[in-house]
Amino acid sequence: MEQDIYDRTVSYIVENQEKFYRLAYSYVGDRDGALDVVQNAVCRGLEKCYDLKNPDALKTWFYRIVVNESLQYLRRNRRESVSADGELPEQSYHEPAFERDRQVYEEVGRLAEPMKTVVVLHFYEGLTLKQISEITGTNLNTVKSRLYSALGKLEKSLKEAGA
Amino acid sequence: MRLEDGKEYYDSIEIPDELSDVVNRAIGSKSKGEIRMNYEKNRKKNNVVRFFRYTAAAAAGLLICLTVGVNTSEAFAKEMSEVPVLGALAKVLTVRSFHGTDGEYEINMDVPEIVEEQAGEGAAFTGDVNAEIQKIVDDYMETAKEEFQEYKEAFFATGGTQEEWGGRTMDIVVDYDVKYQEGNILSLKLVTAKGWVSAQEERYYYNLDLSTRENLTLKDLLGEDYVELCNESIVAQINQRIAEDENKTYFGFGTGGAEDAELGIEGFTTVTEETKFYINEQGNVVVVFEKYEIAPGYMGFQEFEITK
Repeated sequence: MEQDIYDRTVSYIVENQEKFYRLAYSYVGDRDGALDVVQNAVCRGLEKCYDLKNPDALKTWFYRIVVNESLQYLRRNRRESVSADGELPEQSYHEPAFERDRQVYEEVGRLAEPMKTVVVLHFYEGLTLKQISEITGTNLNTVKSRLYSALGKLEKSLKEAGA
Repeated sequence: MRLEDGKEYYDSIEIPDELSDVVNRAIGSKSKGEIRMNYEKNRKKNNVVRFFRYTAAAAAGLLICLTVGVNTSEAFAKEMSEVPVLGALAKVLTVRSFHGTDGEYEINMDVPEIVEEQAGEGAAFTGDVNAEIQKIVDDYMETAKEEFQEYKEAFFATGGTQEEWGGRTMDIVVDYDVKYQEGNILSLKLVTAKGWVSAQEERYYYNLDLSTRENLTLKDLLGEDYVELCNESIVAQINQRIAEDENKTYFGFGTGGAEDAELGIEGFTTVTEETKFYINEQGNVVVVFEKYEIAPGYMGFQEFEITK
């Protein structure tokens, strides 16, 4: 039988589920929440897949759904999820070599919303700035300026933290 | 500073064992067929409206007149006796009626016809409306049966057995409702529905002025600024419904509204001259939106009474 957009979406989701989970986790910061987000994103994506006019945009389109679901989850759970000082929830134990990574990662987590999305998608998910502009529905120049201001902020905060 | 350092940490985010179960469950929560059908229905909706508007008045064809009964709605009968002019203009009769099993189809059908008391110049106008109704019904019966036969063929072609098929039948419903009749104004609703894998329903509305022999428009009933009047009222009613019941959802409104917009899901924006409506017992316009048109499927058809 011919593969239609539904079948393509399903196999894309199955192949890349770990990426979606990590992306969701980087927003939500806890395991159950990230699983919730992935579940909702999969349902939402499949329900809407026939509206996707250009199958080549599948990747950016689905990332966008995961990002949107993550933000919606955060909005719904704002009261509980972030403690007053914006501390990220406890991580499981990691090798000391991870300490520096962890520091960088946490600073990224503290960035304000649109900047954080650009950094996570670009550096961690390896998407191009052009793709990110499609995912976030903003123009390329906005994405660039967000990236630069994110880098500026990170540099400053990491210096302060002595990294 | 190297951001790539953070990536290693990111990549080491532990993947829980349940992830694949969660994903598979989400994928299995709705079948491909169901999703496909919802999409098709959404798309066809627009075609149905177009079809309804441009159907040429074709010959009514051969009618199987099983019963002819006067509309016996109590309110209507009462009104008839009280308002003599109404009786003089027209009656809505059931011209075709069938309730029972026809092979693989369970049919409940009541087809209306508008009959003018004094067949005169106006008869051509109501004749056109009647012909259109007959055609909608005939086409509907035909396509419903075709659809069912296609489904049946596909069922067996893909390895289904006679045993699994069992005695499946399709429900087909054609019904009507006189929403309002007073003086020369008649508002009639025609419903076609079928039920098998999932239920689908279409509604058609006829709002007629029998003295001028015209189809009434929202503008005729609400005036020049009908668009603003309706839009303001509908937006207010949507917001009120969401506020009163958190389980109610409209595309583009409430908490999920911004996200809908980002995903390109359009909700209610404005009424147009093509927006469906009927006139209720109080004589007010009631605007109707189809399932999926401005809200998720579970919300069903959406009606908004517009008071002047």
